[in-house]
Amino acid sequence: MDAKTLAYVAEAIRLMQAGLEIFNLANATLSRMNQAAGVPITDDDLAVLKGQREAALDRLRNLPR
Amino acid sequence: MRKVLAAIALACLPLAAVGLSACTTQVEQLAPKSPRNALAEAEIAFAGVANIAARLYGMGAIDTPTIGRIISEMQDLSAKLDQAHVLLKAGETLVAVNTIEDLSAALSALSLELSIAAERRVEVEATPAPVIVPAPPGAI
Repeated sequence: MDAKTLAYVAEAIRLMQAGLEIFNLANATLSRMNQAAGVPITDDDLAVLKGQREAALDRLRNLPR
Repeated sequence: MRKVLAAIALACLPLAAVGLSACTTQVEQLAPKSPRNALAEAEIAFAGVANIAARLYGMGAIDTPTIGRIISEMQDLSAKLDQAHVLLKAGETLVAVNTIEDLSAALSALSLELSIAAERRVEVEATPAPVIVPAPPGAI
């Protein structure tokens, strides 16, 4: 396998991993939303979710650009 | 080998787009729940969309100006979520529900945009690379 083919394969694998990771993220989000729809939500639950939202926003803000 | 791997890679990104579209549909269905459940779902959707946006940016599906705008929009939505928490605590249920509906619609639009970005990345990958034919000896 030449260098160009290897680079192509590496890129294909990287894309596959990223695609699956994003799919899993979307799926996990849906599962959590479905769970949250069917149970009583306490103030503590809302506080935890707020913290998770702030952490996600911080990660987004701190992306290398 | 190359063709098989490329086909698998291209198949994975539409899967991601399908996941995002499903997420959009779910976010759209927030309103009829109790205000607390609706707020919890909106919080989870927000974190999910933020993580997906970060990953899409990491894989090159979103450019720097676009991620800048998305971050700005998400900061606004985060402020709206904070407002919804305050309204709910103050017993302003109706206003809180309206706020949650507004921000869930905005989250839907954002996740749709991310889904389109993922699909666009697939189109870029699907564009065949130009075939370079070496010139015969003595042609140059």
